[in-house]
Amino acid sequence: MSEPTDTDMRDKAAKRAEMSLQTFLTRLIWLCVLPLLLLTAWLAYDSVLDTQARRDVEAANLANNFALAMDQRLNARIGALRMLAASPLLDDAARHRDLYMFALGMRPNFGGHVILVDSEMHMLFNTRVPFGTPLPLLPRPKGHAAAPTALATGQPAVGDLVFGPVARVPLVAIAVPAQRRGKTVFLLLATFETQKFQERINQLALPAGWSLSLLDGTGAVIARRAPSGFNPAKDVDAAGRFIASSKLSPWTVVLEIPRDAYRAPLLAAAASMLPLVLGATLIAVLGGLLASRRLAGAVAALAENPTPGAPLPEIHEIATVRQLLDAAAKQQEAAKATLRESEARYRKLFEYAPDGIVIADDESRYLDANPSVCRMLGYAREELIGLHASNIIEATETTYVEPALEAINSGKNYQREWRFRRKDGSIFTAEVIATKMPDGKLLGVIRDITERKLAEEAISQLNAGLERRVAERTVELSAANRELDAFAYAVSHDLRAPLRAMSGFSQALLEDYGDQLQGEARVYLGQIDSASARMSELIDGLLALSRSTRGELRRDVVDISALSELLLAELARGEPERRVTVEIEPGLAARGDARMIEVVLRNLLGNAWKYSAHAAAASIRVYGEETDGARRFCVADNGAGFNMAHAGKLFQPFQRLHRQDEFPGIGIGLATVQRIVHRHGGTIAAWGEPGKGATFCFTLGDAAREAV
Amino acid sequence: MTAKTLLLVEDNPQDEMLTLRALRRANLANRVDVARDGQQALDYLFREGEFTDREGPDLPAVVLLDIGLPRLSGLEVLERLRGDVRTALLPVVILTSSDDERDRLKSYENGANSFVRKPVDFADFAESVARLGVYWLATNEPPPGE
Repeated sequence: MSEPTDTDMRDKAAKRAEMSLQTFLTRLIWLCVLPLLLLTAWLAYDSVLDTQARRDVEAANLANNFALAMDQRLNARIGALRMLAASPLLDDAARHRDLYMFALGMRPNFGGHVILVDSEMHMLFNTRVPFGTPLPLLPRPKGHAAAPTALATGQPAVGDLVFGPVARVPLVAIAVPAQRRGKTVFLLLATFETQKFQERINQLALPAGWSLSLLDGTGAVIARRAPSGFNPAKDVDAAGRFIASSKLSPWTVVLEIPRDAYRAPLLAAAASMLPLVLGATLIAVLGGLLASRRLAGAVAALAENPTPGAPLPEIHEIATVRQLLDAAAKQQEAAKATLRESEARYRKLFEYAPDGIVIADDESRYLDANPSVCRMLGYAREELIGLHASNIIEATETTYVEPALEAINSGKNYQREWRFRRKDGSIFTAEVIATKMPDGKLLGVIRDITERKLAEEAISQLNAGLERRVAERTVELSAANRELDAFAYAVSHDLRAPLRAMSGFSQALLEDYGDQLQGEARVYLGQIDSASARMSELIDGLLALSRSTRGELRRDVVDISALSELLLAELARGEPERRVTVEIEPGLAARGDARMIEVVLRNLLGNAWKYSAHAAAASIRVYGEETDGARRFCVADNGAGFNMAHAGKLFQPFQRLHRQDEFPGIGIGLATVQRIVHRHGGTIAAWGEPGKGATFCFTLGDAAREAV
Repeated sequence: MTAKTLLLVEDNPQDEMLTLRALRRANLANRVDVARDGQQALDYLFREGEFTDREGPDLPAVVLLDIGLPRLSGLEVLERLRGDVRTALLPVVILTSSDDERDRLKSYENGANSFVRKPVDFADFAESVARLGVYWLATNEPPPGE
């Protein structure tokens, strides 16, 4: 079974958390539009309320104004009636006719008929009918009647609707008392037909649908203007009813706005605003959606690969991002190209490297191998991949794999020679250099060093052969040395015997038969003797030369100063008559073979002693000096010296620069000295001038340079 | 008492003559016998071979022994003498032309009583031999015999 991969889980998380930009923008648009919408609705509602309030005020004013107009009208009538009531014509019954005429004359302006009633409610005249026409008793209407009220209170009064007994039409009456000495004696009444009020109402500018009613104190309708089919009880709410009371009468003015008319502004506002609001909302949302779609599209395009030559987005910021993205994409492309190039380069290196290169995981399981490795091991690359290091090395080496891996994985640079096993089982040696790469994989470079190993073996065999040959040569040389010794022995033993015989028998001849020898015979015998003596010296010299460097070279510390002193003293004892100035630098020390160095000094000092024999004031100097880092020792004299032209012959055996009669000698001493100096790894040099003396300086090479 | 004798071991007839002359001129009357190679010297000293019936004392007072000898060298003779109880204490003087240090060392190691180099100069030689004869025959007391 497969577990959800990381990628899947990331996708799921993204789906939970992410929304499209368009969704987001749509929400944003709604979020922006909704408050406006609500505000608009509220404003509309407020406006409707305002309209209603203004209409209510208008309605109330209308009702009040009408009531006021009614009162003024009544007041004018009351005034006229008061004027009649105050007339003196009233006090005289006979003159009531004149009063009648007067009242009749007022009528066109008055708009109603005037009735005179006595305190008993008898009608005395009525301008509706000619004077003197018998008149009925004044009717007493139900409710509030003008005449009784005025009679009772002594004040003018306005009454409710009454059916006129004379006029035979609905009337309203105004009664004004005529008082004499504080007592009501007559009543003057004015009657008006309701027709007059109806006309008034009809003259009003009333908004359509509204109703205006003038009601008397009992609620009966005096005059009304209303739309047809108007039913106040059914069609009007309390809010639509505005009532104004008359001050002079029990009447009321009622303005009614039917329910439908009352709601009309609200409905009208709603009807006019709803399409506008809806339209505006629609435009805003649609515009927003269009814009958001474009924005979302532009942003979505950012995520896609740019097509070359495509125009830049119109929105500046997005264009900038586009440019940045393009630049980043170019950089990335360039980086990728560089990476590809680098990878290609390393791949080539990997493929063509003469050394084997393997890449392995941290447990040395091979992940890749280059052709050189495959060639070395005889495996195909596919066979090698997956193999472990221990699969391709010699069995005895497997125990070293773990420590090696530890070392490499700990980041150390690793190098070791391993014995590898090829696929065919053959073994070869290779040098492995391994390191841990940044990605944690291991990189191994394998170099087949079989040839180097063979070469090393060959060199070691050669060395062994050389050593053997050196040993053989040493044996041979030793044998040769022994032969030389034998030869020297033979020389010393066998050559001397005949010399001794020659010398001995010539001596015996001289001793035993000397008296018989004549003339030059003795001289000849003397020559035989001296020749054999010289021969003997030569033999001694040869032996000294051959022995001078024989045997092991010892490393003694030799006190040159003390030895020189000793040897010179010995020489002085041999020739006590000579006066030689001797100067020896104290503290001269050398490291070398003491016997041989003694031979050197004996020869050099002997020569100095010998060759300075003829000097006026002979002097011999022994000193040391440092030249070119080498310590050298010198013996100088002021004796016979020599010509530098012959200096080359000085150190050759049997070569002499002086005749025997000048300075006796066999010419072997300096040859011996040179052999010893050379044996020590040193050099010897000589400087001289005839008659001025000679200087011999020698070094003792490395042997002398060691700390003394 | 039997007169002391001297054995000269010398293969060179000229040296033999010169040695004998020098001894004679030193006025030594002692008998001098001569062996001319190493083997002959041993035969003489052990009375073997041609010397089985030789006259004179068993051993000489001193042996003057050259080193370079035919058949057996002087050093080998000395070694043999010191290896035999009869001659282990016999005074032996090495008288040789060799001035080789190793010969000298070997001689002493093998029990030589003295080492004398034959001087090339005859006068010196004669004197040395004369002194040796006088010393070993007259002055020196031999080891106690049986």
